[in-house]
Amino acid sequence: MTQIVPLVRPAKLRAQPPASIAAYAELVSTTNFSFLRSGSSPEELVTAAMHMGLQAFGVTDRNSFAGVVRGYVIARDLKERFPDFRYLVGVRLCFADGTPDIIAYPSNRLAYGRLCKLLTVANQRGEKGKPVLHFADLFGSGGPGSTSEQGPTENYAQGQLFILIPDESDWGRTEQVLEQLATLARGRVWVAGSVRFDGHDRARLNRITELGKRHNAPMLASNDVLYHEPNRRMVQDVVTCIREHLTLETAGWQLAANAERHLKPAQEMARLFAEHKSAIAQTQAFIARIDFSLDQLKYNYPEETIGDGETAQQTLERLTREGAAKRYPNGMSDKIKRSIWTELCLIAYKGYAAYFLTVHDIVMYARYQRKIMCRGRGSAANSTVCFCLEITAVNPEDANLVFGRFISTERDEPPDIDVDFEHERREEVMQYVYQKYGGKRTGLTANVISYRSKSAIHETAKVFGVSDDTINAFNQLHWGWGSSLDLAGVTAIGLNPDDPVLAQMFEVIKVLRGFPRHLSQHVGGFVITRDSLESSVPIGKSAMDNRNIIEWNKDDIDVPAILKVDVLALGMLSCLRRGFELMKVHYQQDIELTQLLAEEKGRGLFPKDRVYAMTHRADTIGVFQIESRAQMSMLPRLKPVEFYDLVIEVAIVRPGPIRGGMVHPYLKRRDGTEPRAPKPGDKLDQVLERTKGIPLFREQAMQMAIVGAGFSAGEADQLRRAMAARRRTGKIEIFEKRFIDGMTKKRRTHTPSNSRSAALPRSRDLPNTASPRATRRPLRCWFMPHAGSNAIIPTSSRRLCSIASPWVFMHLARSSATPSNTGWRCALSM
Amino acid sequence: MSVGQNLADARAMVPGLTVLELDRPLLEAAFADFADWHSNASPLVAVMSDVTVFGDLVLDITGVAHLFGGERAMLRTLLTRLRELGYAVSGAIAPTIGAARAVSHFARSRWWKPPISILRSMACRPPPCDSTRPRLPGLPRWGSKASANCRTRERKPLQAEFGASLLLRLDQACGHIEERMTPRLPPAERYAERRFADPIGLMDDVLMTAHDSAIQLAIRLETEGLGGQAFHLFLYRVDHQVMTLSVNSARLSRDPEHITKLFTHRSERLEGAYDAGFGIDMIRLAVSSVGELDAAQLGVFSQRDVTEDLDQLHDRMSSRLGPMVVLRTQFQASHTPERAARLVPAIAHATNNDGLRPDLVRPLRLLPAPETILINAEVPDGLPASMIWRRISYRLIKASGPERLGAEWWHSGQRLQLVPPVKPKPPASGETPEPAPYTPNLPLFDPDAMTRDYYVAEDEAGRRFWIYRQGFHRDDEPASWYLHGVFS
Repeated sequence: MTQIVPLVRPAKLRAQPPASIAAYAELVSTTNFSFLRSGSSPEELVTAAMHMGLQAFGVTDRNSFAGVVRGYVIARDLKERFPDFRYLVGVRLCFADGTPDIIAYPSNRLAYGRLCKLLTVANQRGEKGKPVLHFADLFGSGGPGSTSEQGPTENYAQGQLFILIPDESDWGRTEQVLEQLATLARGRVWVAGSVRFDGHDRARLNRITELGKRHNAPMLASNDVLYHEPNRRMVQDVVTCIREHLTLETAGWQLAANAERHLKPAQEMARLFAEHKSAIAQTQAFIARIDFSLDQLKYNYPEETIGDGETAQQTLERLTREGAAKRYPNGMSDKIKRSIWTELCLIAYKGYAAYFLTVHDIVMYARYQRKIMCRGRGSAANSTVCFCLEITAVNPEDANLVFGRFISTERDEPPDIDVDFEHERREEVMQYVYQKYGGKRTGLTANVISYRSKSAIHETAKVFGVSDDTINAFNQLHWGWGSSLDLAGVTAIGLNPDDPVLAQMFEVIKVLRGFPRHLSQHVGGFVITRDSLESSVPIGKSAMDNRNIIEWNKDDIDVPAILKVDVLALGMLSCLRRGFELMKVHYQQDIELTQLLAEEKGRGLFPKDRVYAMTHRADTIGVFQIESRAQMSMLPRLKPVEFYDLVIEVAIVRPGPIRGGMVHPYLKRRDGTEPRAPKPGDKLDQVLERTKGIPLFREQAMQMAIVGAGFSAGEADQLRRAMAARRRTGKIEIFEKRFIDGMTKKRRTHTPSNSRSAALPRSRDLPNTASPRATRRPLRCWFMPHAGSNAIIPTSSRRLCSIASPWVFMHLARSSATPSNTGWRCALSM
Repeated sequence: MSVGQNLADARAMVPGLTVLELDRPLLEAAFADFADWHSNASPLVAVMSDVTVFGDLVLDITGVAHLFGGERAMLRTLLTRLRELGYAVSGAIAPTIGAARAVSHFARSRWWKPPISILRSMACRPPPCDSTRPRLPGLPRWGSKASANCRTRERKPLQAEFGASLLLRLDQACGHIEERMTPRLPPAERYAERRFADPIGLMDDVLMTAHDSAIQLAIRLETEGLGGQAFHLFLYRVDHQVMTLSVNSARLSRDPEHITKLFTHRSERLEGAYDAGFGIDMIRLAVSSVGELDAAQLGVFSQRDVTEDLDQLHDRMSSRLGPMVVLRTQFQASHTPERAARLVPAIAHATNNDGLRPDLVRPLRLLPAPETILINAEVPDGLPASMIWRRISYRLIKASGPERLGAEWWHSGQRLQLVPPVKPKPPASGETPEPAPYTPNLPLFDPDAMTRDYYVAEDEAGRRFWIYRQGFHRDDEPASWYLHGVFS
């Protein structure tokens, strides 16, 4: 087996003129979205490829497109600095029948759709998360059953460019596959040659060249990249062990012999392929034939028209008019009219009418046909149109919110309407959606489950052979996202953080945190398309029958601007419905949700004072959002008297404000014990007016960033997104610095005295703490009816809660000594 | 004075009392040896250590009693023998361990199979307060009549007052809860034994008896189509001591010659340790690790007496020199050549070749330690052209490589140096520098610190060498080269 080759005279090589750096593109790569098979994320690989000056980089994960959007986003963000860089999308087809791996790149949009369908076929055949692909599938002649729902078989190989990865343990099979592939996809096949530094490199490259020549498939240089820099070999080894359930000591041959499968610059690749220069050149020929990028993924939303030749926009306008007449029986104010008009114009401009109609339709179906209680929430509460369409229940006029938060022209991002349904009956709504749009056009978004600190510690420690006791001790350590290792904590549990093994382990853990572990299904985010969904994204199998999941995370679908309808489940709604039934049976009162909402107008069913007095006593067991122990201990101190106080209450009892030291200043200022001098001229002061100068909400953070730190509106929005996705990236730290720098600079010009410089350290905590006000706001829908019913018929209401959420039951069990039993009896007789 | 009395009380009663502390480890060891000897009565002998100071001797006599002429006779024989030796013993035979213990400790008569009513009352009598078992303080208060009805009482209050151990004992005695004994010696299903009317003492006699027993055992094993890997010779001395000799064979065997030979070698290693005392009155040869062995192999073994199997050689060497001295190499799954093999006892049973990778190019001989050489080669990873090894120059005309083997970074004897991260291109002037992507630093792993590039090189005379360069090429200092092994 030893390859002894005659030595080339070094003098000859040296005599050659230094070749100019050949352009090179890395086309075979594995990211950490091929779960536990790679040591780098798509973002890291793409960034590294850009910095190395590669011509192009392709993300090719194993039978999956899950990671391509992440790479695309980073490539788009850095586009200005590297205008010539091309980001390519491909997939590594791994077969269940022993066929060597084949890399497929779609050459155009149609080919991409076919590839998605091919992966869908594989997903449907295998178990969840374990696609099963056969070589025959590639040409549409797969086994029976695979294509039952797909219609006639299709040649999925059409329009694809293939790179065959030779299987070095079975050259015969490799040649066989190459022959078939080269015949069926003539002129679109390459063979990957890579320098692995295993002693056989020259022999291998020569062999592949010969093989390629026989079948008219040129060799293409590649490094079969697993990680972006050699250091990541550690992570690669660890994830290999996690995957194979081994420890580093026992893994043996499973681990790679060296750290060579990192991304290499063009110069290095040219040196390694010095005897096969054409292999480098072939990468250029290859990328020249690719005419696809994720930009072309145009999303088309299903038509939602009632008929009568109306367009979706016209239908929406008609429905809004009708709804407005119902919502504002006394006529609309000019402000309302204006905002409806603005919103409709914006919707028309953005073309979101059909989306609103879809949500409207689902809500109408649930509410009137199935009698399921449902309410919209989230940023949709800012929209008057949503209010008129009965999607949300809060009048934006009362709530003082801005539509711009929901949809805006600058932000090219689809609106997000979340709708809560009774948790026990949500499935009915989901099945309705599937029936209406068909299984091929509907899918749930995926939820990428990533390694959290705890799981990363656990699995890594196991790989390092740490004993179970020590692993349990590690679990006591507290590592937040992005925070550094708590060395004092390590010492406290009796371990030496300087121990080389431990130090290595912690380094690996730092990297491993945030690595995707598997795909799960999102709680209720529906994606609906007009065309077949599977030509946009591969559809995976769900653990439940009759459900499809697409491969992209909910953040990722923003990029191809796919609209998502959130069909969420809320136990409190079920609880309320039962409560209404009880009221009807025992008190002969027929109540509706909307009746209960008119609290502030004095039209409410329940006396406002009694409800708030109840909160002052912290008698809020099972009251939505303020039922926790922490909330209950805060209520008597805060003494809410109006709804906005509750909004603050919910926002302030969170780890962020507590750690940021915002609680006591607020309480003091509220009580008036700490004077707060209003500065009428200060714009920043106006932003924080309602919260007594304490920043609590994300909106306030954005406005502070604009007013105080000189952010542009777009940057402020980026800040908001960074706050929302703090777990994913370290972006927030960049913003934090800018925010504080900007603040200090502005402060110097605006207020000469540094009397309020104490506010600065607080704002540091702000980004990772502030909660969006809009989400807190519609909580009113639940709070009033719920707390109200609690005040009037306390025990029966508690009984209801205990049905809906076991957690409340625990509370009740603890306080079961409460005297009144009438309510219990009444509830039990239900 | 009585057993279980307080020392203070006893001192008060007898002023000049001499007090000696119990040497527990010694007593326990002596008692264990004593227990072993009882395996002449039954193969399953255990010491249940939880009751008395040195424990209770427990014998499982299932299927044994008839050899002594019934259970009652057996109990009598055993107890008499011990009493004659001067021990104070009490014993009982009962269906469960718990019942036997209860009767032997607390019953007045040694009724071999007590009626269940007696059992009931006996088990519940307050046990003597000894150091190993907590006293049940409340039980005497009840009076013997009440405590006799323990079993029929409500369990909950009983447990509340006396703790769970009372109920546990009760249940064990009645057989509701299974109680297990752990035999002192490995229970051998197949054995051959010989008793001597006149005790023997010479080693040669012992080995001759072993040979006889081995033949007996071999016949039995042959009829069953079995062979064994571990053989144990128990020598029962008249003074109630047992000596055990164990030998292992590398493969299944039942060849009496081979077994005898193993014991002979083993006995040579005994030297002074062999002590027949007042003589040996029984010898038992037992076999364990039994497995299927085809009958044909017996013939093969006996006829190949002259050209012996390598395994038999290993066996004999191991039995003569000790199992940890005779070693062989075994492949290990490791990329580092020095770690790719390790020594294991030759006698070790299963040989696994998981570590074998025939596809790797590895030399026949690895030098004990890599030797420094001088190499003329192209940088950074060109093939070597000439070599100076031990002051002799070799012209290398053929070579292949490199095979790059990284360090096993988790074997971190040494802290490795810091690697400079990949430097991003300097941004064009005027642009604001984009913040670098969040990259955690992994300073603890330096790929070129321990990486070796291996080459196979052949000189003009056809000698092939396995040489490597330590680390990567650097401009500032020449790389160091080593010769690690030779082919052919």
